[in-house]
Amino acid sequence: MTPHHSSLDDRQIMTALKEGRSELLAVLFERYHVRLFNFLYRLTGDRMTSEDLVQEVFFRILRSCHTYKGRSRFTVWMYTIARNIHIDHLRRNKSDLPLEEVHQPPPCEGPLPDDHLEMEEDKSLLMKALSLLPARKRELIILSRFQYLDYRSIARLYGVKISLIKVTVYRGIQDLKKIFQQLKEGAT
Amino acid sequence: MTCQDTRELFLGFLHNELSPRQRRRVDHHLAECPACNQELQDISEMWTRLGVFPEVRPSRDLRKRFYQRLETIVQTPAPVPAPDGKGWRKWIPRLSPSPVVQLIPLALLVIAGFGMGLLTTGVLAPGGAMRSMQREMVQMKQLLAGSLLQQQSPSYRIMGANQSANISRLDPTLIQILSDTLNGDANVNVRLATVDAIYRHRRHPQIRQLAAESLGKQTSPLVQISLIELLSDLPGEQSRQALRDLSQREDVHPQARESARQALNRLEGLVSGDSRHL
Repeated sequence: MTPHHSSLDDRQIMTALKEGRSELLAVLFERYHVRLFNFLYRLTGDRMTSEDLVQEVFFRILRSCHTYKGRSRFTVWMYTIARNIHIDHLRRNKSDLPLEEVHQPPPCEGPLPDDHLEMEEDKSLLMKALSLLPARKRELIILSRFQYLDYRSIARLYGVKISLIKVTVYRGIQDLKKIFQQLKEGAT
Repeated sequence: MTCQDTRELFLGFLHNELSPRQRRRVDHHLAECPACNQELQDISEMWTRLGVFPEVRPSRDLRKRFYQRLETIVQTPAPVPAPDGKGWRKWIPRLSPSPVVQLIPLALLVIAGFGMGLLTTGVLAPGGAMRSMQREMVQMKQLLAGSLLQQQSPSYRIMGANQSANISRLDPTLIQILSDTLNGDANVNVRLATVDAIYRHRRHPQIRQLAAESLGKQTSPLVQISLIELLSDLPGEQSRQALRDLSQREDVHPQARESARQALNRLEGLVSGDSRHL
């Protein structure tokens, strides 16, 4: 066993997985599970579902490691798997999952300052607005705003030009703003 | 440049990714178009607003379930691939798994062998012998967990921490190893897994003391918050003192400080609630 596996880069780990060193999947898990969980949680809005899907992503990485050719960044390949698993999940459940109210602030015993309350209310309306966007726009906003993937990587992930990704994200933000305003007006 | 052309460059504009020529054209358009100025402000505000969602931590259960499943896979021998005709020496690494991978089946064999030994020698009888065998099995699990916790690979140390969580009673040696790992392991994920592991044993006096003493030694806010969660479940002056000390330290991350303050308030609320009932 070579020491310091955590210093291996993603491609080296993928090579080791192909050679049957399944235990090194743990290094990828430690590196990416929180990031993947957040990606899937923001897509589904459901903690338990997202945790199940994160597990599925890692074990599909293990099963499909032979298909990774190393031509693109590992994270691009990993998000392709995560997207496919999310799509499979939506198909299994027939429709898009509604976001549950987990993003609501936890019940608080004492009174909150007004601005804090407003901020929490905005946060939950924004999350709801995000859930009402079409799936692709939602995915793209999440990938670019929260997952720290650059536009070049996102374009590779979708197999389209960078300019198209930027325009779609821009339009997604425009739509998000409209939905958010409507929800806010409805709430007041 | 039309309004539509300009607006489609807004994301690049916000991220400072435009070429100098594109940037000049956008600036020029913005100087003359109040509507696009407003639109840019709105998009920028929405983008910033999205930043209010903090990163969410998955539950402790995710890591536990992942390692349980991985452990099953690691223990299952992989199917032997067809030879590629480049000589038998290529097979040697496959026949020499790591010391830890060898250790797991070995430990299981020892446990099974011990049970078989008791059966064949007739020692195994209802009552005392069964209890003795259970005790030996717990000891074997403790040995395995301790050994994994001292491996060089963080993934094995995490496996060791998870293994410790599944042991019904911890012996002093394993507690010492867990203590060394929690206070001295360089890897944050290993320390987090150790907090998860000791959570199950939090009522043990030594673990309670370990958690309280370790809080002040941690530098990672994630580990601090995890320990705070654990201590908030352990009423007592020891926990309150550790939380009080951390909540007053200026060098601690504000989120960890705030979590300590909230946990302390909850525990102090419990104390005053108790005294009201007296």
